[in-house]
Amino acid sequence: MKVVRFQSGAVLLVALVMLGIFSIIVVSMLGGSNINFKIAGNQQYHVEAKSAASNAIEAFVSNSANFAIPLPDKNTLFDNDFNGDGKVDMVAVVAPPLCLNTAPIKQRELDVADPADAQCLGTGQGSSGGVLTDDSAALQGNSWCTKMSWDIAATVGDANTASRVEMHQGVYLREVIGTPCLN
Amino acid sequence: MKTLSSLIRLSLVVIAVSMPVQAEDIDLFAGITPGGANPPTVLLGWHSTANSNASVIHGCVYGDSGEAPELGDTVGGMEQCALVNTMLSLLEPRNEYLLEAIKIGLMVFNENGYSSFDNGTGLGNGNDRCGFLLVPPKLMNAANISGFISKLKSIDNNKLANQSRLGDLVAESWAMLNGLSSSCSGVDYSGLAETATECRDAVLVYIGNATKETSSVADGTGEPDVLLKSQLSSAFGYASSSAQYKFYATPRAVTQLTNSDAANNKYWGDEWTRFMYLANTSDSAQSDRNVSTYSIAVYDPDLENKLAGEINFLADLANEGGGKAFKVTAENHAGLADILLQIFNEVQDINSAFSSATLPVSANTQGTFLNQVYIASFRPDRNAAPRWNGNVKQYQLGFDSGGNIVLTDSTQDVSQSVTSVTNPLTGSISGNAVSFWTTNTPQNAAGTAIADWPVDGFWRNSPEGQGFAFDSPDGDLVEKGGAGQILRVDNLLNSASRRVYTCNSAGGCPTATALPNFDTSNSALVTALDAELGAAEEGGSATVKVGRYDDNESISTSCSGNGNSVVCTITHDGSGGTNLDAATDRVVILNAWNESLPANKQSCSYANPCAISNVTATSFDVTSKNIPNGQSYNGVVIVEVSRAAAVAQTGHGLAVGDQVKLENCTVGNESNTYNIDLLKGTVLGSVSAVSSADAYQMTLSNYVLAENNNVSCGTSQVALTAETLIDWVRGEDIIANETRRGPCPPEVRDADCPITARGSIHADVLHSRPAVINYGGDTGVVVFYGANDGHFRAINGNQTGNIAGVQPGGELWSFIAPEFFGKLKRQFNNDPLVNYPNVLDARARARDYFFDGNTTILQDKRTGEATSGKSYIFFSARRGGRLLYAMDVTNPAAPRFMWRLTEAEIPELGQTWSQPKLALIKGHDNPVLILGAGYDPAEDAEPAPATNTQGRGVLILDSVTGGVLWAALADCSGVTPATGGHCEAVSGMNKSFPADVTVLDKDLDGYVDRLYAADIGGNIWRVDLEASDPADTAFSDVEINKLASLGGSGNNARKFLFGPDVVPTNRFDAVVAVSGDREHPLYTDDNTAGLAYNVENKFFMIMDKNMGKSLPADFTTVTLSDLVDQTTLQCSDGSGGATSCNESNTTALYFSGEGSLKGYYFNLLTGEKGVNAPLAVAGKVYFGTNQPDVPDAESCSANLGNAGAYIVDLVTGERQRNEFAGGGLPPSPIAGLVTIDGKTVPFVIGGAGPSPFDPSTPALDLSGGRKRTYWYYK
Repeated sequence: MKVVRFQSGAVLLVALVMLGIFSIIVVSMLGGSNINFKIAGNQQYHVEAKSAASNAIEAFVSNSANFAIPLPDKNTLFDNDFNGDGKVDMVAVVAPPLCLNTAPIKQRELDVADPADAQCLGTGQGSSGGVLTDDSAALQGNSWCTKMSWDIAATVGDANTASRVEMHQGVYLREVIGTPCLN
Repeated sequence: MKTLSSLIRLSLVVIAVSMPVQAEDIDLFAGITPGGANPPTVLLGWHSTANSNASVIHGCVYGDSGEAPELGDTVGGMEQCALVNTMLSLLEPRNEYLLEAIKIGLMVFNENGYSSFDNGTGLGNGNDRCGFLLVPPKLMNAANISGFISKLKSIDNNKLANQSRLGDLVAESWAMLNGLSSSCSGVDYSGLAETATECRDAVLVYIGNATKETSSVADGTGEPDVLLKSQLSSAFGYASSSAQYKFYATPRAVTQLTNSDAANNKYWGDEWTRFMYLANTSDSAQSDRNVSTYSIAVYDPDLENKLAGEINFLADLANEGGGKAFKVTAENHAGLADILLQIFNEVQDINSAFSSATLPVSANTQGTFLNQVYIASFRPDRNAAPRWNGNVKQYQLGFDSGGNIVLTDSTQDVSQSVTSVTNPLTGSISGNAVSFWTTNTPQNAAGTAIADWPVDGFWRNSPEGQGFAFDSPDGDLVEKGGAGQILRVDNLLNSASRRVYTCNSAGGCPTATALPNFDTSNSALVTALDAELGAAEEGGSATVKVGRYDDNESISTSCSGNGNSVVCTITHDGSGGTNLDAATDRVVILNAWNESLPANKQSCSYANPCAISNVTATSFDVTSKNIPNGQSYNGVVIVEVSRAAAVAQTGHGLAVGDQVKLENCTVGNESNTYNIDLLKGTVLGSVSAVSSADAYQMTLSNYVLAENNNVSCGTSQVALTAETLIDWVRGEDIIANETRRGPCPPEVRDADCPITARGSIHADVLHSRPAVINYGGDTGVVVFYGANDGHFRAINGNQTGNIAGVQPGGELWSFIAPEFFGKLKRQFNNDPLVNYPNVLDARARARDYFFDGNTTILQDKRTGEATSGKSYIFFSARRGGRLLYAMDVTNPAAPRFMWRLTEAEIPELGQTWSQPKLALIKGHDNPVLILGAGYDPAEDAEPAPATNTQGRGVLILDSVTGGVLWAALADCSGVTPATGGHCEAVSGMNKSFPADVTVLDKDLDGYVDRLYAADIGGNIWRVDLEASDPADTAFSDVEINKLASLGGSGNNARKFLFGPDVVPTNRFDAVVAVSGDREHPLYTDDNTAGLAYNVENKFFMIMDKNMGKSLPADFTTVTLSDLVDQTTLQCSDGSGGATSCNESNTTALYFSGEGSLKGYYFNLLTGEKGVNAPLAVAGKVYFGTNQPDVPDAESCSANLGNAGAYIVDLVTGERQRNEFAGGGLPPSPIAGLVTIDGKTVPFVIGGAGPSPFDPSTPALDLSGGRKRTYWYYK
């Protein structure tokens, strides 16, 4: 009886403890794989957000009217429907382009034989309007074009997945002089 | 019989040959008759999709029934309700002038729900892919308004389309408005075609929605792009490779609307409106008229970001379509109704003539302009009288809600978005605009209200326009508001405080002291004027009879026409001796229709006598929509009230045109009289005809009836004396011959009505473009210009802030040159008439001018120079004479005379048309003036003489002394050059130089080194100022050569009246010029070679490849045969030459400077003339033209001709010809950078239209120029 009493349950206890531990391990492994799934899923969302931002920038930059006077003064929204269910999955927001710098092109820098340059040429008559100043000569000879650099920022912030991407694209282009650069 | 017919033919030939020798540009205004037979047409296009069901609490109810709209509390319901209420408001008294004066129709998106809808045309309902004409355009009278409203109310939810059909509807509207047999929906609209006898575009008003997330501006399934291309290729005959086809069929990019410029885009509405507005309808066999498009974006502010591209697109519909873009929030039904009414008003406006615009240069930023715009204006007299109203008004530039630069008025705040105040349909300023300075509560400079200003308006005796009796809003009415109003305010009761300067004799101006005053206390002036006027006439007693009271007449009425143009012919039996004269008489008709009509509908009553026309012995015409048609009346009284008084006075000794004062007049009895008070006491008038030595006819200031009332007067005298002339010139209405009667005409003036200021106190500013000096600091801007009443004016150009005690808009001083004293009498008498080609009066003669030329300024802000800190002005007379004046205005309130130049100093000097150009040149310290030697009036003859006798040459003057530094003249005799100066006699200089000289600083060292001067014989001359060693070229070393000879004889007798522009490049200097004889603006069917209408005018681009400081010895003058004819664009032959384009040669010709090409030209249209100076901006050359109307009763005719706005690609000769609305002579384009609310942006005014005052932004082709620089995430 005594023997029986001595062998009564230690192994079971150990086994139960081990089982518990294994269960915990299994459960925690299950949880871990869920996290990995979630990580993978989040990466998917992130890639989608990036591609939404990148698409938005491409579309925005392709429209030349977005860089000509009048410049956009509001955000431009681009809807993305990745799974084709007719519902918008993500919205990419392109802010009005941010001017980084502008520098007028002198008429003498241009080659009339190049159509892109020829459209910058203008009258050679002075525009002082009868006002003589010490620096009048320095301001002569500007063409109608200016070199401008713009920063285009697209942000995708998805409330459902909390994924957020901000993508920047630098664009250089030649524009009509006086295109506002207020930064 | 044969002899007789050949005699008739001979006499016709004689008549044709003896055309008036005199001609000038104002001949264009000879017969301006505003309005026409056709009321304007407006088609409302309503964006009626299912998205119109976006819910909005708008609270709008129908004005007639008080019910909520059929479409309920939705944006569609708001629009439906606002439309109904707008239509109802046309019946209100305040909009009476719109009633029966405008045709309005309604087009919506087609839908199944309309398949059995009857719109009353019987034309069928078409497919449901496009637009459906719910209400065909009909004249808006009470019955048609009610029909319109009932159809509008019938729209319910079932009639909304399931998708946007924007481009399809616009395409449908083109077919509908032009009565085309094929359309987007398949409906044949040819039954609705009408002849547009009034040269006015039809108007499409597009009401679009941006009120739901899914709101769209896309096309439906009607394929508007295919329809547009089919119009271009089939109806207009443009090959798909032609420039026109490419221009109209190329999709344009819309800000923030992605893919809008893709070839397969679905947004063709804006390309359609661009086509409808710009297409040259004379290229099409369809009975086409252009269509201007307005757009209204009804939007939800919460969705403004989401739908930014769509809202921009709706704005672009109007910006490309030549109209205006509006925005209104979705619940604002009253705002929508106001916008619609504003559009209807603009459609109704009539045009008056404006001249030119000027901007002041910024005081702080070199080379930029302030956003103040001064517009000088003139209003030709309807009856060919020589006294015209004029004004200078200030407006400003701002950004509209789409970010486009627009001209706006004083009521708007440019720190926010503003709306344009130009009227795109007439080309002038909108009727409801309020310019700066304009006010109905005037103050003096100290800010105190003017007590005697009439509370019921200065114009209470001659009301007109939207302001009616008031000055504000001044709109497009020249005499109201602006500098003219402030002049009336400041000199309301008398002109004692007005500063008017003069010189006592020609050449007798003091230089060291102030100028003498032009007032009656200046005895030298009185003596000088007395000498001009001769002795005054005086006469004895006189008797006066005016008008006729003709009773017991039988009359009948017969009316025709539409709207405000209904003309009724009144036929009477002629028994009572009615003897009417349309020029002087009006009629009152008693015992006919008036007795049964309410007061506001009465026509030809004593309260409102009728003007008459087409008078015969037994009939006359009256324009009135209230006279019952087809009625007969017996026992009628025809009262002739007249301004022509018959005066009997023994041995009066008067001549026609004399202003007469009859004293101590009394009226024997007052039965059957009208305005009889005019004949009591002193009677003022002008002699219009002398019937015998003892009788004459006198023109009174108002209509009077005094047939048998024994009016007798004591003595008489001629009103014109030196003293009265001086006071009149200073602005006092003392002779009662104002075209628009003032508030207190002389005959009623007393202590209760003491105003003496003339309504005509500011005469026309015709060719004088105002010059501005920005003094900066506390002073601000002063505006200088000449008006054709003799006064050269300096006015305070500020928006706020006095200058030397003169309020904004007020006159600082004016100057009357002694050379003009002899012309003042005609201004006073307002007689004789101007000898327009259609004026038969033998006494009529050419109009007088004063300082009518452009003013040049010099403001020297340099340091350490002799002229540092000085401000000078130089003003010329154009047709006013052969003189140039210089004044020192360093103190803007105290001008000092400097010098004058006349033919005494330079016998070759012609009329000073050429505006002096201010320049610095090497080898001379003082700034210099460079100008053409002027215009020879012998050029007014047609055809022009082969050689001129004056004005042949180019002048360089010292700006401080007026000395001649260099002159190249046909004849140097009599010229004494200044020390070191030189006069070069040039052989072959046979024609005068009225154009401005073009100055070029090629090496950009601050000193002008080259000039281009064009003469009236079609030649362009090049002057090299630094031809010798650059440092110190003596004036005798300056070289002048004929660069190009582009004129000739016969129909090659091209004239340059405006200077060329020059574009310096790295391979050649492009000289561009356009020919045109602006001074002979009218049509002729005489095909004699050399008449201005027959001369073939051209635009030229000459590549001057000698970019150094002189021409080589072997240089040969460029002639027409050296240039490529780009009238039809040529192609490159592959080896630097030109050849016609065909299948194997498709490379467009490009003038790069390589190869042997010397430039190009292209022909203008038949009879078309360049009428302003070309200006090169951003690769394009802008200039304006005028093509006279061919008189034709059947076709549209605007009288002022067709004003073209050319935009030419400098290096290819490709061009776009737009039209300025309203026609006429557009002012020269100006361009630059303007600072608006802190933003500096480029602009061109007068470049593109629709109004010549509309600013536009020069555009570049940005495609392909974009480069990526960096890319990163955050």
